[in-house]
Amino acid sequence: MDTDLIAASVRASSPEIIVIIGACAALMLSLWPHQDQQKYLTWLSLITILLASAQTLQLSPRPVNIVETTYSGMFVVDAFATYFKMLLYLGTALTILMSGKFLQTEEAVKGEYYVLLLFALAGTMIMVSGADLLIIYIGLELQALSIYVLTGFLKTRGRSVEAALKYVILGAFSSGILLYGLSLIYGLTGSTQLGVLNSALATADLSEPMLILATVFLLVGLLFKIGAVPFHMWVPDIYEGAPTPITAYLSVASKTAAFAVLLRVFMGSLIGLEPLWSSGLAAIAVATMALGSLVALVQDNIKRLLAYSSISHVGFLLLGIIAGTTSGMSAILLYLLIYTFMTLGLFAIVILLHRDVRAGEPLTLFSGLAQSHAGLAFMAMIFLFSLAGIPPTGGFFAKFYVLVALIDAGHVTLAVIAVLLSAVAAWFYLRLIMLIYIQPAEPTTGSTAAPATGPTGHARAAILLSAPMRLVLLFSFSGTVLSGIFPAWFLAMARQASLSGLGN
Amino acid sequence: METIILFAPLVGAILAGFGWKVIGEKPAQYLTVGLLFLAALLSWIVFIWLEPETRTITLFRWIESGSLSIDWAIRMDRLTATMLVVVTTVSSLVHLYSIGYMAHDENFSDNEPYRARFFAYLSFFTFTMLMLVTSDNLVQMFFGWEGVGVASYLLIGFYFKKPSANAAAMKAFIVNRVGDFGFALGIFGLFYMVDSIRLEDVFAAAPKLAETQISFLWAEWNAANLLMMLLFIGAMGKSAQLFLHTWLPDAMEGPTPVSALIHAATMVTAGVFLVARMSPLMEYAPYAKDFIVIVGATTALFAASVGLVQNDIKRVIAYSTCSQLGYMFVAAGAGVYGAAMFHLLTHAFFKALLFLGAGSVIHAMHHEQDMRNYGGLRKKIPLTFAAMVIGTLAITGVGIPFTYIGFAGFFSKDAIIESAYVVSDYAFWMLVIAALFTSFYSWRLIFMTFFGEARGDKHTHDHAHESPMSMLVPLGVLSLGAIFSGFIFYSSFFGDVEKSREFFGMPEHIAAVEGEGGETAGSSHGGEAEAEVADTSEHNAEETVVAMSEHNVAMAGGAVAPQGAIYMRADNMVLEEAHEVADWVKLSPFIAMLLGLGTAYMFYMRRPDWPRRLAEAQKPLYLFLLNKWYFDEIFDVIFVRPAMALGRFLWKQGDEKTIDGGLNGLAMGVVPYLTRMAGRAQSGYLFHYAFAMVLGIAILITWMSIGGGVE
Amino acid sequence: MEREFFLLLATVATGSGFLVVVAKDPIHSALALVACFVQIAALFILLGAPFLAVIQIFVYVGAVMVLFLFVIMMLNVRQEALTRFIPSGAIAAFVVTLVLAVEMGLLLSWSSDLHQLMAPAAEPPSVNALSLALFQDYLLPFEVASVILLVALVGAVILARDDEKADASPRRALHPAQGRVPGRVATPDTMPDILPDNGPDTGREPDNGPGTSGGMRR
Repeated sequence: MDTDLIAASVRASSPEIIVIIGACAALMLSLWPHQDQQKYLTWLSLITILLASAQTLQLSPRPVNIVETTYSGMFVVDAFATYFKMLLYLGTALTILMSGKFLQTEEAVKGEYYVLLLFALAGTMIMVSGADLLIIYIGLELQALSIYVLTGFLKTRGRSVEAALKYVILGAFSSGILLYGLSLIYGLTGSTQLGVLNSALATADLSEPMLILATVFLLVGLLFKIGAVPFHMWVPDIYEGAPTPITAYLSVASKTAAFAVLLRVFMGSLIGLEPLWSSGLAAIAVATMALGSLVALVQDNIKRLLAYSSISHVGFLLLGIIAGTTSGMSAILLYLLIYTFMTLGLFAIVILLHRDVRAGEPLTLFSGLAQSHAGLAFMAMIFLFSLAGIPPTGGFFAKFYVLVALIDAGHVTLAVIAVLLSAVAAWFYLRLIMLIYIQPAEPTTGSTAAPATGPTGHARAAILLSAPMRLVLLFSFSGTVLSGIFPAWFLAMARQASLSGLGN
Repeated sequence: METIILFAPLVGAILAGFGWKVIGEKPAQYLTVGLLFLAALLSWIVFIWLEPETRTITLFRWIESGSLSIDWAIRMDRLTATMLVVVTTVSSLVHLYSIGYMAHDENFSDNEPYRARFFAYLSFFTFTMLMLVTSDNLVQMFFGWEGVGVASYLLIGFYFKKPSANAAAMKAFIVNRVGDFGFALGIFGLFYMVDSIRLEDVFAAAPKLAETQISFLWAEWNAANLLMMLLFIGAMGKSAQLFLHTWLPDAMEGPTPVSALIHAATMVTAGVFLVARMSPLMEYAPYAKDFIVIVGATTALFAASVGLVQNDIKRVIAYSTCSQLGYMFVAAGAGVYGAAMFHLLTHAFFKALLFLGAGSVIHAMHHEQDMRNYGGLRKKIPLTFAAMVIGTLAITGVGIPFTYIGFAGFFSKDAIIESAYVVSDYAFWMLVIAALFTSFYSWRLIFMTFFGEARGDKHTHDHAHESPMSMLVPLGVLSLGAIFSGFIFYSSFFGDVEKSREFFGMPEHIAAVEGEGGETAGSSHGGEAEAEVADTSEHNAEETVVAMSEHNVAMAGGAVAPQGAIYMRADNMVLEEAHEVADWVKLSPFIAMLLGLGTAYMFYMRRPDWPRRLAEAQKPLYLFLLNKWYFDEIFDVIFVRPAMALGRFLWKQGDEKTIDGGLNGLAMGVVPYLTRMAGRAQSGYLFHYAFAMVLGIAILITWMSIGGGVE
Repeated sequence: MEREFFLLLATVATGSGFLVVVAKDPIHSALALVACFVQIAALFILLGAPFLAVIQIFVYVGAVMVLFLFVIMMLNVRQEALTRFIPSGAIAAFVVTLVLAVEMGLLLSWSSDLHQLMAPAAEPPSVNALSLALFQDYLLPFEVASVILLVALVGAVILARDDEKADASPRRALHPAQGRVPGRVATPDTMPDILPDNGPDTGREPDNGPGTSGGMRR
C-alpha cells in the first residue's frame, strides 16, 4: 500500500477515527475529578458525534451512486453507510442526552460510561461501513464488548450484573456461530469480501450442502443480534436488567447496525442464495412477530414489554428483507429511522418516570400520568400510537411501506398475517395508553414498592424536565410526527441509501 | 379555498392545544370557533358554486414507494362538498354550543384548564374528518379514518376521571379496530389487484375486478364482492352497524356536544360516505350490495326496537342514530347513493339538533340523564322544548304525503323506504316497522321529558333553567336545517332524476365504460356530450384490449374511471323505479309515523299506567329489548368469559396474574396459552436460552435442507 | 499419513473440548482446555503454519490459561461449581445436539467442495508474508482489534474497581422482597452472595444458578 492509498483510507474512515479519538479524550477527562465532570463529558461526547456527523456528511458520496472502497476493499463509503451512520449518530446522541438524569438517579455517574458509548458507536459505524465479513465481525465485537460492560454498569444492582453476564455468554455463543458461518463462507469462496462473495455466489450451485450450513450459521449469528425468534431469549432479560438508557441504545442503535449488516450481506452478497434462505427467514419473521406481540400482552414490567415490542418490530422489519426488492430495503431503512424516533422518545419518558431501580419499572409507573403531567402523557400517547402503527404518526408509514413492498413482491399471505399481528400488537400499546389516561395514579406501586413517593393521593412528585431531556423529547416527538406527515421526504432519503446498498 | 377549509380546524387545534397558555383559555375557545365558522362559510360557498367536473387539488407529494406514488390531494366533487357542508356546519355550531355547555363542569375542579383542551380535540377531530372526506386515495382516507378514531377516543374519554367514560373510550377503540382490520385488508387487497390505491384507478378497474376471482381464506371469491365486503366491514365498525354497534351507546359517556358532533352527525356517517364514495366498485359487487341492504335493514329495526325502552335520554338518541344509519346503508346498498347522502345530510341536522337539545335539557337538569326523572319541562325550558319538537317532527318524518311540504326526515326517509321497496321486501318491511318504532320512541322522549308531572328530585326541577344564548343559537340554526333542508335539496339528491344526475356530475344515462367490450347500453338522450363519452369509451376499450393482451395483471391499464361523484350502472334503475312505486308504499311510512305517535300518546299522555302493565305482561320481551337484545351479554359469553375462564385456569395452574381484565379481548382464548408457553421458556436460565438457539439452528438447517436447494 | 495425524489431533481436540464442558471441577475444565489448545497448535503445524502454532501456545496456553487457573484457585469457586450442575433437560439437549451433529455431518459428507477445502496449502506462508498481510490487507481489522483491547481494558477496570459508595446499597438492593416487581416469582436471589463485591468478571459461572431467574414464568 502506498501513501496515497493510506491517506485515502484514513480519510474515508475519518468519522470513525474522530469518534475513537473523542472516546480517548473522554477517557482522559473522566480521570479529572470535577464537580461538573458529567456535564463536560456530555458536551465532549456530543461534540464528537457532531464532528463525526459533519465529517460523514462531507464524505458522503456525490452523486449518490458512487461507492468508494478503501483499506484493500474492506471499508466502504456509500450512501447506504452514510444513512446508517447518521441514524447511529442520532440514536447515540439521544441516548447520551437521556443518560445524564438516569446516572444521577442511580448514583452511577462515571466517565467511562460515555467512553464506552462512544466506543460502541465506533463499533457500529465500522459494522455499517464494513465491506468484508471479517471487519464486520470485528466491528460487531467492538460494539458488543462495550455494551456488555455498559449493561452491567450498575454493578451494585443484581439484575444489571446478571443481565451483563447472560449477555456476555450468549453473545459469545452467537459470535462463535457467526464465525463458524464466516469460515465456511471463506472456505467455499476463498474470500470474505462482500463484493467477491456476490460474484462467486451468483453462479453457485444451490444444491451444495455446505452452502446451507454456511448460510444458516451466518444468518443465525446476525439474527441473534437483532433478537429474532428463536434467538430472542436474551432480549427481555437484558433489556430489563440493563440501565434504561442502555436498553434504549440496545433496542435502537445496536439493532440498527445489525440490520445494516443483515441487509448488506443478505440482500447484497448472498442475494444469489435467496431461494435458500427466504422461506426460512419468512417463517422466522412470522414467528418473531407473533411471539413478540402475544407475549407482550401479559408483561407487567415496562422494560420487558418494550423488549417484546422491539421483538415484534424486528419481525416486521424482516418482512422487508423477504420482499427482497429495493422498495423493501428502503422500507426497512425508513422503518429504522422512525423506530429510532419513537422508541427513544418512549424510553426517555420511562427514564423520566423512573425513580429507583429497586422499585423496578412496573407498568403502573404510567398510571395516572395524564392527570399529573398532561404534556408528557400526550407525548407518550403519540409514541405509543406510533409504535402501534396508528395513522397520524410515523409508525403507520413504517409499517405501511413494508406492507406495500411485500405486496409488490407478491407475498400477500405474509402481508395479511402481518396486518393481523400488528392489530394484536396494538392492544398492549393501548393498554399502556389506558393506564396513562384512565387509571388514577397509585399511591404505591403494589405492596413492595419504595414508599418514597410521599403522601398518598399525590403520588408523583413533579417531574423535572432538564434541558437535555427536553431536547430528546423534542427531537423524537417531532421526528415521530413529521415522518407521519411528510413520509415521502424521509422515504426519499431511505431510497437513495438503499439503492447504493444493493449496488455493490 | 378548499385548502383553507381543510386546515383551518387544524390551525385552531394546534393553537388551542399548545398555545392556550400563551393566548389564554377564553381566546383559544373563540379562536377555534371563529376558524370553524370561517370553514363552514367557505364550505357553503364551495357547495353552492361547485362545478360538475371532479377536481383534484394536489397539496404535496406524499407517498413514494415502488409502484406506488400518491399525492396528498383533495378530491372535490359533490360528495366531498356535501360532506364538507355537513361537517363544518355541524362542527362550527357544536363548537359554539360547547362554549356554553362546557363553561362549568363538575368533572373538573375550578382551576383545572380543561376547556382549551376540549376545543383543541374538537377541532382536531374536525380536521381529521375533513381529511377523510376530501381524500382522493384510500390511504389518505384510512389516515383520516384512524384519525377520527383517535380523536373520538380522546373525546369519549374526556372525563378521564370517570371510569365508565374510560371503559367506553376503550371499547369504542377496540371495536373499531376490528372494523379497521377489514378496511385495511380491503385497501391492501385493492392495491394488490389494481396496483394503485388512487380512487380514480380503483374505479377504473372496477369492471375488471368484477370478472376476477381471488382466493382468500378458504374459498374463491369474486374480487369486487370480496373487496367491497372488506371495506364494508370497516364501515360497519365506524357506523355502528349490527355486531359492531356495541360501542356507540356506550360512547354517550362523552360530553354531549361530542355525542352530537361525532356520534350523530359526522364520524358515524363516515361508513355511509365510504360506501357512497366507492359506488363505482359497489355497482359491480351485487352480493356486497345485498349484504349491505340486509345488515342496514336489520340494524335499523334492531336499534329502533331497543330505543323503545331505554330510559337514558342520550341512549335513546344513540340507538336512534344507529337505526338511522341502518336506513342510510339500505339506500346505499340498494344503489340509490343520492338518497343515502340525502338522509345523511338531513339526519346530520336533526340528529345534531336532538342531541344538542338533549344536552340543553341535561344542562338544565344538572346532568340528570334519566328520563324517568324528567317531566313537565316544557314550561321551564320553552325554547329547548321547541327545538326538540322540531327535531322530533323531522326524524319521524312528518309531512303531507304526495306534496312537497314536510320536515327534512319526511323527504329523505321516504326516499329510502321507496328505494328499499324496489330492491327487497325484507328491507322494506323492516324499515317501515322501524319507522313506527322511531316515531314511538321519539315521541315517548318528548312526552316523558316535557309533559306530564315533574318527577324525580324536586330541587333539580325547581332550579331548571333555560340555557345560555351560545347554546340556543346553534339549536335555532339547526332547527332551520331540520325544517327546510329536506324541502330544498329533495329534488337534487333524489326527487328529480335528471336534476340529481346533474347535481352529482354524472353523465347522461349511458354506460361510461362497460368492460373491455366497451358496449354502450342504455337510453337515448342525444347530444354532443354523449357522443364524446362514447368516443372515449371506445378508444379506451381498444387500449384496454391491447394492455390486457400484453400482461394480464395490469388491471387499470387504459380504463378510465366513470365521471361524477357517484356512479350508477346503466342497469341500475332503482332510482327511477323508486319514483313509480304504488301509492300505498309511499303512504306507508306516514301511516307508520301516525301509528307510532298515537301509541306514544296513549301510553305516555293518556294512560301512563299502560307502559308498566305492558312491560309486566310481556316481561321477557321487555327485558329482551331493555338489555339490547343481550348483545353485550352474548359477546360476553362467547368471547370474554371463555378467555377469562381460561386465564383463571392458567393462573391457578401457573403462578402469575391473569390477563388484565381491561383487555377483554376477542381472540384472548388462545393467547394466554401461547404466551404462557413462551413465558415458560423464558425461564432466566442461560442454558435454556442457548438450547433454544441450538434448537433454532437445527430447525433452520432441516428446513433449508428439505425446502431449500437440496432436493 | 497427514490424514491420520489430522484425525488423531482432531479427535483429541474434540474430546478435550467435551471434557471442558462436562468436568465438574473447574480446574479439570481448565486443564482440558489447555489440552485442546495444544491440539489446535498441532493442527496449525500440520497445515503448514508453524508461526501460528507457536503463537497459539504462547498466548493461549502460556498466558490466558494460566490466568484462568489463578483466578479459579484464588476465588475458590470449586465448591460452588461442584453443586451447580442441573441435569434437567439434559436429555432434550443431548437429543437436539445429536440431531444437529448428524445433520451437519450428513451435509458435510454430501458436499463435493469438501475435498478442495481439505487440501493443504501450496507452501507454508512465511512470517514475512503473514506480517505483510496483517499490516497491508488486514490493516483495518488489526487497528480495530487494538481498540477492542482498549475497551476490554476499560471495561475490566470499571468492573473491578472498588466503588467508594458500593458498600451502602448492594445488600439492600438485592434483597428479594425489594428487588422484585409485585407478581413476579420471588425466588431467593442467591447469586449475589457468591459474588465478591468487585464484580462478576471473576465469577464465570454463577449465571445459571437456580436463583437467578430474571425471567418470568407465565
